[in-house]
Amino acid sequence: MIQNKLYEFMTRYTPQREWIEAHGMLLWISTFFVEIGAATFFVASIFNNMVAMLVGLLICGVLGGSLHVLELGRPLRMWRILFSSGLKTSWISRGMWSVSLFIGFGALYLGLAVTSVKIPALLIAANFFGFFSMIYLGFLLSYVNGIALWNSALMPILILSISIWGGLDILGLTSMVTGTVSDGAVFLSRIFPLIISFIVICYLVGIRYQGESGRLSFNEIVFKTGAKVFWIGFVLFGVVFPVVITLVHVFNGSMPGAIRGILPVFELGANLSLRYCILKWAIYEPIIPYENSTTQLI
Amino acid sequence: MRWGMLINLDKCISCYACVAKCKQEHFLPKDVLWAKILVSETGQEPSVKKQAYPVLCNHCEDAICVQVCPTGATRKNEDGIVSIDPDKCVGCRSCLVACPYQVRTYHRKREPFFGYQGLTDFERIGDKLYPLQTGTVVKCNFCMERVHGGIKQGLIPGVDVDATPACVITCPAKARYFGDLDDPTSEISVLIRKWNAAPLRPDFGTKPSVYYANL
Repeated sequence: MIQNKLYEFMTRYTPQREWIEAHGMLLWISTFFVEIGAATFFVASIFNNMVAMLVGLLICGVLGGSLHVLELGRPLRMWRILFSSGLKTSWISRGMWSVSLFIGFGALYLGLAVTSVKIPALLIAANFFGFFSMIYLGFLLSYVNGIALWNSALMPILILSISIWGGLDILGLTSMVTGTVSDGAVFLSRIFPLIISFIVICYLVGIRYQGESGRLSFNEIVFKTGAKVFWIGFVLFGVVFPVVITLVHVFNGSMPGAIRGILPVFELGANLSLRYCILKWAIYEPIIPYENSTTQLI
Repeated sequence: MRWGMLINLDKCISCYACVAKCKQEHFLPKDVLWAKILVSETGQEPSVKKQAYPVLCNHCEDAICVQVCPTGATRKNEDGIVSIDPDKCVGCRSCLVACPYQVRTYHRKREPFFGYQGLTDFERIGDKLYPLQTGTVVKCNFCMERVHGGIKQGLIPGVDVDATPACVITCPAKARYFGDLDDPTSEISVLIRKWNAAPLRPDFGTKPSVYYANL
């Protein structure tokens, strides 16, 4: 832990740093790739876009998986996460199994599909484990009872929904490149910012009234140090721009290709911003009585 | 059997002897402290109260760190001591993040106490006698080696010096007590009842084994 005065540590509301600062930033990036990769595979399988399924698999396995391993203090011992008793209670272990099985079944399905052999059971298995790959971070965070921002029943739903949001964006980008745009996917990706907004509002309002550390996290994200990341990174790029552009498209009838291409990029940036807010402004409650503790962060 | 500790805050003189002794006992490197002293200030002038709180791993009965560990490196022993197997730890830091008391430390890299001088003799001896692995999480183990070693010799932890955690025997004010929480006749159990001692933040629900009198 990074701290200035040892005797003050945890005497007041203390931000979580281990999973967002320095080496810990890899967790932020790796979970983003793992989840949107699995989500891309999932939504692409609904719209039968094999290229996007492959892209999702690669994002999840190559980018997410490798960064996930690099995030560990002892990467060469990664196998212990898979082959130990941790699976019974640990969401990291369950997540690692899910990601591994998702990649395995997904690769097998796509490999056979290339030879025109499509086995639905493999696709169902890949999406089943892909679902857990998308959601496990939510359960992992909601387990931490010392941090009100994470200790929320809405956390898994929020993580799952922003993962699917990111998956739709990757599907949109891939479809543009391959020229196989699906109307259903476009419609979903246009209404998703509104769905995400609703979930984020419910989540933040819930956090606001979940004790003093919840109120502090809410204030930091919405009004204080996190406001730029939240309002510009998430709200402006992830909600306002997409909604405005969609409305212009609806009333104007056409959307230039450049805007269609930049919109998913904006939304992916907003996705990352929201994840950053969730990890960065997670605040522990003090463990000893301290005067004015409600107004100060260490 | 469940080993536990009782700290009488009225007796603690905030001398940091426990912190220093713990550091010496386990040859802890720079930036790693298993025992800490937190200082709080409460009340308004002119009646401000300054209080020192010695903290260490609480060896919780329902330890979240044990539940979140993906490799089983963090485990709860039969005697209630929560320990880390450094050879199994992958350094994911989920235990560190999950601990509501934040008493774990990630041993990122080995840095000498006095960088320009290289390692001191103390550090070299420590590397041989008590090697801590970088890239893993470390924490207080209730001086498990002393407790278990003492029991093997027929000593009683909390009573005999050689079987009692270093911070307890070092405390010059005798503010710390160690013993079996499951034995209602042990000194620690009697004193917990007598002083109406309680753990820090019991609302976290982890059932800590470290109690504080006069909180």
